Amino acid sequence: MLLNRKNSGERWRIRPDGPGKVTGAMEYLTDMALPGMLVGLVLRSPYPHAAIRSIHVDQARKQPGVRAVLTHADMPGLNAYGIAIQDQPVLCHDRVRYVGDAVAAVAAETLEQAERALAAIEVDYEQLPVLDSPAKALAEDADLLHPHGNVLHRNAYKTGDVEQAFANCAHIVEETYCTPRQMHTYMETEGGLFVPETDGRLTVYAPTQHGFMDRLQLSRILAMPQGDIRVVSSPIGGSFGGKDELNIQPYGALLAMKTGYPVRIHNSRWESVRAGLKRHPMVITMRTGVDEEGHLIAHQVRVTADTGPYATLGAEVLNFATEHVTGPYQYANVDVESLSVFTNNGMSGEFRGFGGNQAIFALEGQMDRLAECLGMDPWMFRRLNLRAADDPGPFGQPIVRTDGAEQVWRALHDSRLWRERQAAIERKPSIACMPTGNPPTGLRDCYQGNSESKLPWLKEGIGAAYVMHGAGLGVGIPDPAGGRLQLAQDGRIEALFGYEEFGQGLIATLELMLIETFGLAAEDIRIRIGDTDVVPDSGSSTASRATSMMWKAVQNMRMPFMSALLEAAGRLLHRNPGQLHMGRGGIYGRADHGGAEQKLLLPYRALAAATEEPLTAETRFSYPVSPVDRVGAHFLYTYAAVAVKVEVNTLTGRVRVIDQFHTVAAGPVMNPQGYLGQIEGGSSMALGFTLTEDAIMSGGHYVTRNLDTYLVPTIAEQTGQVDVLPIEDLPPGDSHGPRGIGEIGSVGLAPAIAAAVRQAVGKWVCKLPIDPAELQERPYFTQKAVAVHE
Amino acid sequence: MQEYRTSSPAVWYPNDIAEAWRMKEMFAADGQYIAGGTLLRTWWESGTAVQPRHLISLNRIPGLSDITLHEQYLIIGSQTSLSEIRYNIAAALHAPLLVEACKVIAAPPVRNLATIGGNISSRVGDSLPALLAHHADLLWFNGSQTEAVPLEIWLAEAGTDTDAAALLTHIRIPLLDVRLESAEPDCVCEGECTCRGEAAASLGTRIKRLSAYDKVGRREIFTPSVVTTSVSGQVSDGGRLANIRIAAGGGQTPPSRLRNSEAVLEGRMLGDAGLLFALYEAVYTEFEPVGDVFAGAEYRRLTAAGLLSAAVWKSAKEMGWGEELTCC
Repeated sequence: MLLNRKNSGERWRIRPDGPGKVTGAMEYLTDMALPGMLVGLVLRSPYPHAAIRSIHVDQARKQPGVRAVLTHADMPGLNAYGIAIQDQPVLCHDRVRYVGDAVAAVAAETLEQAERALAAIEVDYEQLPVLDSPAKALAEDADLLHPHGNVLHRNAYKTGDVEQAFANCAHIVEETYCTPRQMHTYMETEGGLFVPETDGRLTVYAPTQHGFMDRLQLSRILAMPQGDIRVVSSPIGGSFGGKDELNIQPYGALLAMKTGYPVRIHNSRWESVRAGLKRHPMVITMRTGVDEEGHLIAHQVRVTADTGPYATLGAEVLNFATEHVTGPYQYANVDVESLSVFTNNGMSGEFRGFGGNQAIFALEGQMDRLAECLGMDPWMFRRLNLRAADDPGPFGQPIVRTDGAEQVWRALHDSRLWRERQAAIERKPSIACMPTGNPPTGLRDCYQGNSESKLPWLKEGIGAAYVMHGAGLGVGIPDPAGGRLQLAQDGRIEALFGYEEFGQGLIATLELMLIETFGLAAEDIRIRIGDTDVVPDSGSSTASRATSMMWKAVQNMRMPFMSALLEAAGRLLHRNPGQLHMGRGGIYGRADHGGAEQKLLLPYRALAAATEEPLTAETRFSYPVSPVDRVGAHFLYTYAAVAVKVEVNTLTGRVRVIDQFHTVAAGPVMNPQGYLGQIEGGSSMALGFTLTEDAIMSGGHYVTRNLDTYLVPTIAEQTGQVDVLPIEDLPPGDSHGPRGIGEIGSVGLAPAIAAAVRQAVGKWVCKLPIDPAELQERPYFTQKAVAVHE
Repeated sequence: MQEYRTSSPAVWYPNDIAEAWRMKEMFAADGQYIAGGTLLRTWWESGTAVQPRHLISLNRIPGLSDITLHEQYLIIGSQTSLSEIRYNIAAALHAPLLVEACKVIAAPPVRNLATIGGNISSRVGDSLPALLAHHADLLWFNGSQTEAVPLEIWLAEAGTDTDAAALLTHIRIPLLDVRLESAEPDCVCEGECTCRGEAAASLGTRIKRLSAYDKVGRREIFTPSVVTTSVSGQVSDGGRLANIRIAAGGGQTPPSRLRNSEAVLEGRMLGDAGLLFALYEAVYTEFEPVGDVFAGAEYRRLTAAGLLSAAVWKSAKEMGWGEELTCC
């Protein structure tokens, strides 16, 4: 059943944070202000690569209204940060490695005074050669950006012998795929308010995806105990991975502690583009071969990622890409090598999809090309090579069994869009294949649909892609989870989690989960998240893990929490707890025959007032991992398939998406509106990745410095139907519950569009975003000697 | 290299054009006329232009924000917002290409502020190819009198010494049908033109309009133009093309008429063999776009040639001068 409002019935609810966000009434952390607060600004490097000879701040400190000017010399603690590896200077000392590198930070009474102070800081730079591509950074004579060299990380996975296998292939396809430097483009740019408290503690109001990680990192930088730092981190105006790493927090915190005044920092869009993270641009070369029947027998992959100047999660992203370049298929022989390279380009880092988007774009391109070479239907070709439910994961690791791969294959095969494609198909000889000695056998699918009514320069096509996406941080990375339920003094049932609400709908999902688990009314519930002084550490809101971990936590706490409440109620009511149950507003009695009595016996407020001991339940556990010694390997996977219909205007070469079908096998739908939002929103992000978005750099400088040149899709790009079909079945006995869906919607659309473009105009796309010039054609009626009326 | 503002300018509100002109004379290079400010603001933010010390706002001057229909002309005040033009009935009838342009410039909130005068003054605005095809004149106040300058001439004078204080007050567009009526006294136009006598012999008895405007950006809406084209003219009931105007621009390409391309169509029959081949080749050869990192000059040339050819092809179909629509 398609996921939509009509089919969701009462589960389709107004999200609790919706009205405030829609009306603009809700205060984001970057909207906060305090009387007497100072304005913080950061001086960033004008050069992509330079040595710092000297920094003079005397003139800046003398400017009116200036309360603090900080450089590396003023660092109280560790002058470095990074979630995985702390190699990014808070304030650069002797060298800058990209145009966002921070050299000094200023706090002043007004913005204008802070700007003047920044302008008065004198930094003497010596420009160094700019390594603006992995190739330049890997050259033998390249400057070393870090003591250990210019390679952040290498990874590999090999099984069998690909070279020998290629010798036996009937067809081999080799292609190089390039993906763009996509920007998260959250509406709320990085910022926050930093408040030194009278007791010597520091309160940080700044968006992040993991408050406790920020607290840890800030404690190192400030040389303060973690317990002296409170991080308040929700609500957040969008993140998509981009705010997981520290951004402005070190500067706000340092300035606040130095001056003793609250300090507010809020990046302009210009500064956000310049300093912020982007998706790793990757160049992926794949050589993939099949036998006569179409079985994949050799798959060789080389991945090069441009990780920019510092590590952040570059190694982890590369590991994810390495794992996902093989996808849900079986191969006899695999040879993957991957490399993440430091450069003087912008920072690359965590971004929804985490390296899977790039990997799947390349992999699915290979599948379509191979199917064509074989003259096979592309979806049947995938079926032939699809993993079985009990097969090991991409690294040969044990993974949790589901039938998701088969289920989404079937759902797409039976979908309206795919049936339309099959009905409208005409097969023409393909000249795109590179047969190994054999003559080309390939057949290209051409769309022969309802184009009679269209203008002749508009060409339609339908394509599809397959996605297998791991969730959780993977083997070898601490991945804690947990939460707490408690009956508050005012009778509210409080759910406390260390997760963040950045628009994904976490609060709405948790509320519905609590309503359905305990029979509560929304008014009975208070959700508390994003405050390290209050909530337990539930791990990061990342890697499609939060909903799974909330569900698991609620399952773990369900019986202990109910028992605690019902036993306390039983004592007060002099009834057997077994005859009571929780419901809307309080505790109800259960009739002898087991049916529910409608009479409310004890409101939660009365229960709370009459109970001295806190009624609470808490759980701590870790995200489940595969029993394998392979860092980053995943255990829980979500499967998805996407079909898309495009219209290519061959006058302009521009592509429009006009119809979409997504099917996702991720277990039960926890919140229909949130689920749909994640898939539609992810798809919209993928649309930008495919058609318009690229943070272009030239010589280490951003060319696209603002949203007038960096173009995200608008509502006008979101044309046509978007059908989402969730597959909720899980195998009997599955204990892991709902799988993650936060990222998978952002993965499959790009290769599906590329396949649809191929069907529409017969051209393969291997570089994103699609360059319209590649698809442009001269209209037939402008050919020589063609009369208009002929 | 930092993008920080350092001070806010003073904003002046003159009550009439003479006062505005005097202020500009007085402030000289320190002063700048401003209307909606939607484009200037992006220039200041990006560092493309320095914010002047004095801004002379034109939007309280009476009489500059009206669209009025005269016997010979449609006259649009320079302070008229793009939204007002978009929804104006007289403009829809007499300046249809301009109305099309006003639908696709920026986004609704910008169009509510942005003025036609500002779009023209940028010299690369998307209204310009439309206005060129409409034979528009610009009315300039030079301190003592108002002078009409054909838009085409003004565009060609870019970079030469012009009166810096001159103030664009109105845009004057000759009524489409008046142009034909004045050229052909035997023709009478009311929406569609009917001709008699000699004119009927040469033009046919019924004259239809050829009119198309296209803007191609890097996304569907709210996008800078990559290529903007427009074509206008008349088609007799015999299919003969007359009074053809073709203009193209987009991005940083200064909009201009494509006279050679116009000549390819002028006087020819819509159904002529090889006509669209010739048009495509002429536009491709004549249009000299400025490429950038987002779209190369070659792409822009091919796009302009394709769009203009397709526009004529489509008009031919609609007027019954072409083949049935079929899939190639």
